[in-house]
Amino acid sequence: MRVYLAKDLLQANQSNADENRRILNENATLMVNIIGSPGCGKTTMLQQTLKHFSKWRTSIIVGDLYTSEDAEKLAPWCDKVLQINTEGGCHLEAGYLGHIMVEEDLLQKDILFIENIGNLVCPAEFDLGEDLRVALISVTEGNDKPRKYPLTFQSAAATLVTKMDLLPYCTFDLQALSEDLQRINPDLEIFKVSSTNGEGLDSWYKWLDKQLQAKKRQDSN
Amino acid sequence: MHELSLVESIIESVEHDARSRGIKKITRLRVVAGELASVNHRALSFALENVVGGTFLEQADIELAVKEAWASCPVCQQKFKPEPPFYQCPECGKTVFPSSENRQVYIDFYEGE
Repeated sequence: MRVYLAKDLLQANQSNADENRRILNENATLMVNIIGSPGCGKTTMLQQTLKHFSKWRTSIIVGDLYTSEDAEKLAPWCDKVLQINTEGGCHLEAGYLGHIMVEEDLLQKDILFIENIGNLVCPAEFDLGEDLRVALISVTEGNDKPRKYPLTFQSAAATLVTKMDLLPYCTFDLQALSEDLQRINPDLEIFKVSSTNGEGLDSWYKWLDKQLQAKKRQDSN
Repeated sequence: MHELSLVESIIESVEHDARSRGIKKITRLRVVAGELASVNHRALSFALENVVGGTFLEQADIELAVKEAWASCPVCQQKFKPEPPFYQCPECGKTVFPSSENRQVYIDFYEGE
């Protein structure tokens, strides 16, 4: 007996992500999924962003294998932060995320930030239901990373090139990076920033605020 | 990425479906992975061969078919093979993101008795 299943093995996460999207829209909450390698500056950038937008209602889910250090750093700057310790898991998935964003009262905020597990590979594969995906790359990592991990940058709405204050001490080729990103994702917004000295952050804040206002207008319709 | 988890998912899905139909033994299984799926096809093939021992699929003849990726340029209509990392049309340079079809991994069919 032959049985045709045509079962997509990656569909389960997508279905959960679509459900998360529906719940976020119902609650008028913008979800921003932040992806980047370990040490690229996700937490520090989030700290600066939250300090700037202190009037926003914000919640955060932070994913790491172990420790709650990032959640502790972010807690003073948001309404609520939750740390997920995957204990080996290399990415966050939509199903569990959806469950806890409801259970832990992380909705009905202006923005729910997801600081994903530090990893340029797996998080790109898993739609969490986000409105925006933001990929970070630091000047200390090398400008070849988009060529090596294209899906992360292809699937993002914006990329932050971080640690620009360290550019003089690195062999990072900004021009080559821009050319690669233009080829990989011509619609990608690129912000060159330093969370240490504030360089470039204003443009990032303006863009993020514009996305939030667009979401609010969309939800009110 | 996660080839072992994928194989575990395959075993679970086939077993669940087969048992619901009263099938007691799987004799054949065909899995299809898109050429641009985020898996290493050799690693997936290896996992399929070596992880099914002692499971519901241990007697199955397992085939992993890699589905060739093709894209159609929305600007110049050129049909081409999208190549990572840029996936650009060779005629006009337009970036064409791989379709979900090119990136799927799915269970096509199984045979059992």
